[in-house]
Amino acid sequence: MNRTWLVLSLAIAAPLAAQSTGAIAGRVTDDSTKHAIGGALIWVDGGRQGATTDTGGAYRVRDVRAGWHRVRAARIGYRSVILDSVFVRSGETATLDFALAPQALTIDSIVVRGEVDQVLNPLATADVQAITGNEIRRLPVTTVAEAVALSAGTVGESYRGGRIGESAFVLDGLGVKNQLDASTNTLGIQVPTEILTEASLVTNAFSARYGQALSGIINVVTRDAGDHWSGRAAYEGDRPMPQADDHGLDRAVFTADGPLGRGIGFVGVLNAQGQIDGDPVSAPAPTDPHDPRTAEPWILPHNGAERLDAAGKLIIPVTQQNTIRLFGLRSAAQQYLFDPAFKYDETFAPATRTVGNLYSAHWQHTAAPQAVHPFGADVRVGYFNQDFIRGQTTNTPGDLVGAFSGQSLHFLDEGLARAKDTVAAMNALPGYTPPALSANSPWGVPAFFLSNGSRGELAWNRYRELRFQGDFTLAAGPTTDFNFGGEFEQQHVETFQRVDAYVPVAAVKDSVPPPTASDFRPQSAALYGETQMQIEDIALTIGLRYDQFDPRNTTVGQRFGARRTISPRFAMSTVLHGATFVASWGHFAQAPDFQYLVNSAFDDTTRTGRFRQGNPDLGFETATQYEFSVRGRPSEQTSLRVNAFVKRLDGLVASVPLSVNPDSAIFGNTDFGTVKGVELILERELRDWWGARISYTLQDAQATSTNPFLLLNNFTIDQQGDTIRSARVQFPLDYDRRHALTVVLQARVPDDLGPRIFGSRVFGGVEAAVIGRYDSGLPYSKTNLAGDSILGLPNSQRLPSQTQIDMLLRRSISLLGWRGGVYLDVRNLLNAANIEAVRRDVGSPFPSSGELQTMATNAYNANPQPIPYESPRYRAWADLNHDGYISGQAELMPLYLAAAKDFTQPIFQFGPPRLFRLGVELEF
Amino acid sequence: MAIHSVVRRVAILGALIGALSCEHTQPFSNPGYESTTPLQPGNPAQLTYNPGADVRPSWLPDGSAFLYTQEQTDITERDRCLVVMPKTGGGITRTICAADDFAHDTLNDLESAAVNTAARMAYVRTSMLAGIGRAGPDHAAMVLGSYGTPVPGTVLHVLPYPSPSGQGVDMASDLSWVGPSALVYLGEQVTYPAVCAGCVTVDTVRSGVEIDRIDLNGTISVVVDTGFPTSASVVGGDTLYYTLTNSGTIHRRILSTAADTVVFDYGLPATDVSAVRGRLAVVVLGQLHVLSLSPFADQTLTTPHPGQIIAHPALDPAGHLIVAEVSDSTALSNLWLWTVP
Repeated sequence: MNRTWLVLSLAIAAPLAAQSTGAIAGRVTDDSTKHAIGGALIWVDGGRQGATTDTGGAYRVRDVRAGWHRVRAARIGYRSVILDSVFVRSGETATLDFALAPQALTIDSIVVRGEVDQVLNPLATADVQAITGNEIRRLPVTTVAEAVALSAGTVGESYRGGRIGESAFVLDGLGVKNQLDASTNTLGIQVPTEILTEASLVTNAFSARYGQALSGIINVVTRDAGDHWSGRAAYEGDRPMPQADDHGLDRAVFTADGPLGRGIGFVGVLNAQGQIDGDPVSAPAPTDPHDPRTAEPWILPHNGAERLDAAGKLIIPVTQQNTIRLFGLRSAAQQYLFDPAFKYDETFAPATRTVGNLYSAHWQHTAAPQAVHPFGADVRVGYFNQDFIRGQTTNTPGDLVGAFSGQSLHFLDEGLARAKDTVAAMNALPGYTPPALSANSPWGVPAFFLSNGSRGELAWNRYRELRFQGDFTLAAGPTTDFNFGGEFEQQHVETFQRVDAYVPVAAVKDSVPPPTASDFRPQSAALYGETQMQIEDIALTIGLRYDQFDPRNTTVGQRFGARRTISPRFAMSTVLHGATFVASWGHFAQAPDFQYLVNSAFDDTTRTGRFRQGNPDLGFETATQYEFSVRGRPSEQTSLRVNAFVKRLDGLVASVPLSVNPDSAIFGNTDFGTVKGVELILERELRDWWGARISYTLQDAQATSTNPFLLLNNFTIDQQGDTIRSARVQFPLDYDRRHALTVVLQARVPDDLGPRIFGSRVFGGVEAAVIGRYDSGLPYSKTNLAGDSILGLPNSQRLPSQTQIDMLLRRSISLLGWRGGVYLDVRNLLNAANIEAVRRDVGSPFPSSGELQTMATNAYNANPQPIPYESPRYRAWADLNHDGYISGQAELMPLYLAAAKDFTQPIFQFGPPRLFRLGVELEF
Repeated sequence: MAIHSVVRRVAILGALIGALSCEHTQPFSNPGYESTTPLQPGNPAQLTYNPGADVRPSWLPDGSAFLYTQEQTDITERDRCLVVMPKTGGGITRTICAADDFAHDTLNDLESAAVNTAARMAYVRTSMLAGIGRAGPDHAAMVLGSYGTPVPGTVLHVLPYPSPSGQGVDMASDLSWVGPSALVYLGEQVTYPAVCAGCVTVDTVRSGVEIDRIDLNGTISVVVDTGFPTSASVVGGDTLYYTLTNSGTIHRRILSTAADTVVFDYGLPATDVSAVRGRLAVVVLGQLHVLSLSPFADQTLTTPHPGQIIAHPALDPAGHLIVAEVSDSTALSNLWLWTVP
């Protein structure tokens, strides 16, 4: 099997292993007698790691770094065997059996290609869907999130129907989570795929070593340096494309790795990206001839985005068994945020900036090859911080290349927000002016569009975490391991929020929420113990995890102490008739987002209040999941895996009303629900030019609340129009995607195929990858026309299904002795206009004609006065009688109607359009 | 691999990037909709059609545009804001309103703006809480800001105030800069007589009582306190032209010497004067005159329509354009533009 061309593997994980490492295990036998050979030496990568077989011929090498390795088996009197290119995945045990031929004389080893069957290994009990860094380069995906999204059971960043934020990120074994606002914000750091060995998604029975997640672990392993300097420089963008397909993308990547001397290795990656339109959509263009976009390309203004990710890693071997790894990653992302109300006055539209840093040190101790009771240790210290701000900018950095400026956005009154000065913020914040109805729209009329001032939102938060983590492995024999360890996190939460910042809080009584701020230092800790043992063909994994967190939040003048929970986990697997059967059960717990411990002010379109009381007494959110999994090989080249799972969620954060006033609601651990699903994954390894992977997910996810801001027991209107208070029934979760089908096809044209042009076979060596997706619609809630009451139960309606085809064509080139490549990456090849959201009152992205008429009429009635010639609102084409006034219903209403149509023009209701990336790369 | 080789290859990649560096498509931008000419050409040409009042124009020092006070008819309390219109007429390019009326329950008025060459801008601000039975403003003041950021500005002096002359000054108008740090203006008294016997509705009558000077430190001194001045206009920082109640005389006073002379006497009441070097725009019984001082000549300009009344002319720094209020029986004025050879 050509593993370079392996598509997404069905990885077989050993939950005992540290998630940045795997293990190699197997038996050594006499090739002629088939008897076990005891005392044989197994060396990995020239002897840095290894093991000795027991009397039964069994061995196990632990803490093997994920990636490619060379494994040698040797015993005096036998001809040694070297297995080349053995790929070990993080968290997996690669099973390698050796058959040594008796040989009286010492002669060279036999070098064969290592074959690891990932499917039938009974030591795997976790659901791991992994993709290597090399595979990512050969698929039309760019980021870790996009790569992980190819996994079954994934909807964006929701896994197995869970909410956003029910996952944890593990980088080289170190847990990283934005515990402040994971459910509503990004992690703040983005690992460039160029530094990856592999990325994987673990959705079940993950090791007791990991907490802080209910639905999945995203496990990322970065690569170590090679033994000689190499690198890659690449640029991709859509500049050469025609106007309609040019969305202003530029991306450059530089990566290099190599030795620094004394065995020290270095890996560095720089990723810079700019997009003039950070969120391009496939929404239909307007048709009104007076709309400037009918003549201009469909690209959103004030929506530019840029990001810069820089990562570096030092690998410092201390002794044969001890290695130190230092890792640093800084991500800075900023984006202008398109706001339809400021479409014609971009100056006052909001923007956001997020900066994240991760620095870690890792000491790894691996057992010596001859150790009788191998002991491994991983001790890590990590510092993570995320700094987020959203508001009105004070500068507009000039573009360096495309939308990439390389400069930081600055925000109005950022200093006040960082100072968390809620006393000063009771006044109108300096520099903020109230928005007025814009005169710059094509329609001129005072309606819908804003100018002169921003919405007055200023939100800032910072989350910092210092984490200590120790993981230890003690072998009780070739078939039994015992893992134990723990972690401690000192966290620091700071938040500030002000809305309507141009108004003093006391100026308009009860209409402006007061500023909110918080500053507290939670502490979290965990201990775990876990064992895995193999008895014949049965493998057992038993683990127990203890978690606690103490918010130490004195914002409300009262402390509630630490919350604690115990999470047992159990898995059993065996091989029956050529198939591996796995049953697992686990209890999972995560601390709630710390943002729900403090007060929150926000906009709510269904008018269920604009304020939530923080609850410093929140406890753990929990889940209990059991699963049955069967995997096997229908043929030598294919594998099939079927997972059936049930996950019960409890204690999820929701809003609980304290009175009839929706602004009195408080966050509470009150939501519960159930996710049930079946996942089928069929894979054909890439052989004979082509490979394929097909995954299908059938899922049903329900709970009593869809997000923390949704009021439990909210008032709803039944089909007869009566207002009722809904019962505590479960309804579909926001990410309840019933059917999801993902097909990945890969092919490679042999080098000697195709016509020869100018002495070169143009099509020879061309690689192609196609990803096809079909996803049934996500649920949404329908409201009455006023938008203030939900009709029926929440999420009782469904969006249309979505389809998308992505394609990547790549051709390696060698010119003047230099290696490189060119590629064409096309997302949404067929330019499908996928509907991702609808107006909740009409169930369509477009407003009804009646709603448009109502909006226009209301706006006209509010401002029926004539528009004089000198007014910036005057539009000559609308002055039908040319008397210097646009006046009366006959002249004004068409403008109000056009403005209403323009304002409600669907944009983000549609998914991305066809996006091109033309790329060129050089390797050195 | 040697560093120079790496650099060379990266340079070639840079060249490739350069080859691809055609310009990106840009998002749409606002094309701008304002006209730059009057609706109907002519001399005079009607500049504004506002259903509300457009009053008290004043030119920017470079003559590129003028400010005036526009009654906002599209908001309930009908605030009066300063707006900027280019000298060619057409659409207004900027609107300056009071920025702290968060509750939208106050009638705010910004008027009599004066901008100097250092882009300092002085104006009179009044505000009145909307409500029944209120006649005069709740707050009034002369305010100093910059042309770039005129609001909220800093208060130069609160109105009304007791003048050093002993008279009470309720309001100020015709602000003119005299040097970089002082202003001369017309001090007025304001009365609110009932429109008719027994009427609740009252009129607002502003009568000039004196011409005062205020330094930017807030010190007020009296310049003219006789004859009940009706208008004031400063030229060159040291020459004041002014008119008096029920008088056709146009007075010139050298501020540094207090020397006062009569430039011309129309024989009929002259109510407004606007001066630039060597030329005056004067309103005499509602008619607009241009008075050239060297050589001396008086020219009566055309009134747009019979019966209309012209007021508060503003002569541009070059002395060729006059913007003035024109009102008829509705008493709501629009601005017209005269071009003078």
